Amino acid sequence: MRARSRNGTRSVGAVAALALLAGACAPDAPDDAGADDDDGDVVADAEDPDDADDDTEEPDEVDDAEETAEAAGDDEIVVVTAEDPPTLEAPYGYSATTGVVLRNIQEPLVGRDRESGEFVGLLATDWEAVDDTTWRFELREGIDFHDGSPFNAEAAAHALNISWSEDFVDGPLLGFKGPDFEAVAVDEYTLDVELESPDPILPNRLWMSPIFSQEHFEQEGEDAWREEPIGTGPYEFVSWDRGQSIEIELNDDWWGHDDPEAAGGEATIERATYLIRGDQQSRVAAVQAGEAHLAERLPADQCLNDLGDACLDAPNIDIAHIRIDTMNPLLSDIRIREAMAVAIDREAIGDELLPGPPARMLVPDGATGYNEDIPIFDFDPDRARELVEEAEADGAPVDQTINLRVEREKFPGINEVAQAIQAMWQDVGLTVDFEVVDSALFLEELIDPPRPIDEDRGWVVLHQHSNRLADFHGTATSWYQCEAPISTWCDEEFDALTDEAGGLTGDERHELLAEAAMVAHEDIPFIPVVEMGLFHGVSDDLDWETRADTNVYLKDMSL
Amino acid sequence: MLAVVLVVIFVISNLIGDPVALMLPTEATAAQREELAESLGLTGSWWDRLGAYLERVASGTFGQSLWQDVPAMQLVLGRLPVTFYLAGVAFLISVPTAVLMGSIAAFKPRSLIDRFVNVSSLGGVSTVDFWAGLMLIMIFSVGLGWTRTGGFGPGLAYVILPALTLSFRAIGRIAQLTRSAMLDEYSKPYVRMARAKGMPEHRIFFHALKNAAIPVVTLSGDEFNHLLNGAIVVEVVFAWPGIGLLLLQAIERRDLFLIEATIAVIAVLAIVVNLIVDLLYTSLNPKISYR
Repeated sequence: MRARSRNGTRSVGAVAALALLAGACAPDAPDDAGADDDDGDVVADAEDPDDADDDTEEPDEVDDAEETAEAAGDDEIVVVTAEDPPTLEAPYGYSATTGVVLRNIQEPLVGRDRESGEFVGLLATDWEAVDDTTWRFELREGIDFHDGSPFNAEAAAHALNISWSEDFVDGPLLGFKGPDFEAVAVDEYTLDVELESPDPILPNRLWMSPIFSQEHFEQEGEDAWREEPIGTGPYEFVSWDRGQSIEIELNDDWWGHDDPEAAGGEATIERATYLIRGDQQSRVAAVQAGEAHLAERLPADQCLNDLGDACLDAPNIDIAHIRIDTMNPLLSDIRIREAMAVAIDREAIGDELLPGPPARMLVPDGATGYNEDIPIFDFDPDRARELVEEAEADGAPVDQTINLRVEREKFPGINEVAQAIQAMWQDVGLTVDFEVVDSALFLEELIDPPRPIDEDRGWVVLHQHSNRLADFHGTATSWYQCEAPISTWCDEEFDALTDEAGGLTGDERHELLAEAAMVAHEDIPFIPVVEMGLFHGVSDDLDWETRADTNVYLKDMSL
Repeated sequence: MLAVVLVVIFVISNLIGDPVALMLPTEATAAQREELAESLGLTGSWWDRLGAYLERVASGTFGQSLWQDVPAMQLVLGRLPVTFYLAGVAFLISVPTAVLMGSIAAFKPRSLIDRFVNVSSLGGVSTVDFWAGLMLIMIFSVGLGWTRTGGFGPGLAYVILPALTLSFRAIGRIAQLTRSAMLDEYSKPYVRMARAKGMPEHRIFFHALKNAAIPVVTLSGDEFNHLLNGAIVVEVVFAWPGIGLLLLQAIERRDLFLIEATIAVIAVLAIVVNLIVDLLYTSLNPKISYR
């Protein structure tokens, strides 16, 4: 009996031992791609070991990365962000959500004024159109990249030619691409961009395209370029633990320390850790618990309700809107489209569901082509009912179901907004079916679906548009024109106006685009809903001056 | 395993939609999407894609992750120790706690403590992971400041909340089974005989526990599998960089190759854990042997 008892104890012990084996020793942080240096090409072979090796050390332990706001020093910041950048290479990483780190490391030739959003010089001091197809940039002198190599026209030309080449332009830059061009160095600090055809807003486009070290790219190779960005910016790359965290630290040699006005900010924070937290509530909790100074891009309701005064309502450029299949037998009737437009209570949606003011166009105020004369559709359900009845009397198939579709989790609260709009439309006599569609299928149907689009589809899509260049021409060519990939509408007058505007600059361009916007407004292929708010959780000890262009720069912050 | 390879992985990973549509920006044209799909080997007939898939499996790397551009299997294996760590701590919390709870409840059936164990174990089984996780964060991280809201690092401050969250279900299930198995043993003649002979109660307890151990070990193995493979929600809530979070990240990015590699590893883990449980039977009961 005794022997069997020992045997049994051993068995239970074996189970516990299994657990002990797994749990007794905490493992190192998972070593994903960013931290992988098996072949040594990320961290080794730096030309200047004194500088580069220090800057590019592998992020061995998460205990470094997981420095908290409480544990961090007075001049160190912890930011929690939702998404891990897919890459840190210049052309891909410079988008609103994924470039949040990169923008502090690399700078473009052209920047934006913090308050007005106007395009101003950054690494370029001045620029002019030499002729229809050539832009000349005068570059700032005496600047070095983080690897010690000089910033000059040759490096700038190299970075632009790489970023906008066929190999790399399939990323986020695709939406901002104009005519093909080649950048060439005229002399040490003069750069020409030679275009295949005129592009009046090329300098604006270059705001999207940060300049990286040519020497680093050529000597370390593309893998290092993707994972270990080198720029001229106020912060230097330290480490990247894929899916977990990114660390950067202050560049003491940044040119902006001597000229904060020209640099558009004053970098004082010594070190920053970006923690990747996919769960929204977890990001909110990190600010509440004092683990983070800043939680980026929070859902409005969670931010406002859970964080109270610590929730910052920042400027935004995202417009919630509805795109209509205008080829559908019911939706081709302008009265139905107008009824749908005036049946939406934008005030209620903006107050309760998607905080923000009613939208006039798909681009925000201040954008080239923004037309203040376009009236915002008033909420008038009685008028909507009249229009529906009128259309029905004339034989419009009002019984037909309108298919309201949204992309799954496109933005926080999208389902609630769609359901509210569905109820508003049904209230005026329309039949509306609402469905949430998985992203991949939604994108297949939204973007360049097989043409001609099936008339019976009858899709009405609640979506979001961000025009980062603040120029309606880009929206027109991607979303409105007959041949635009996302368009479900065609108007020759609109196309002619926007095509003509594409070759113009200044007031002429603005006027033509504004005129085209009015043409579109009158035919209602899109229904603007609200200008969406942008909400961040900010700790008490962080001072942050937000920007009109919505970018998040550490040089705008202090502790 | 072959079924997993052929059916689960290939079929499911092809049901998640077109990864190319998500990888390119909204403005990309059909030609650009087609070009990318071709470069990734995601075009052609069903058979062509199955062939390409088997080729990736045979290589052992499962192809390059579309997300991180490194071998997919390397990513999964890199996350595995972290998942084992979390599962191990959760297992260490749940098994002793559950066995203790179940045994005490069985020792005095229908007593107050038995009722408490019943209710709390039912509560544990019924608790939704993400809700429990968030509540624990609000209490211990935000309210008391004792633990971290998420992330991975050394020390209990990081692991304790996700491990506790994960252990609720295991505690509930194992405690209930232990209670019923122990009650069963206590009602058997050998226990009555031992009591009649005056054997001390603690020795009777260990005899009964050992005999009740087989179903408990079976369930514990099942729960360990669940802790390893079912931690997706907990890993997301606590930003815990294990294979559950990796699988979710792979699905979000439509990283087919990474999804395939992750599911393959999860399947292998399930097989290995079940094998270990089977082997433990021979130690628990010498009558069981594998020839």
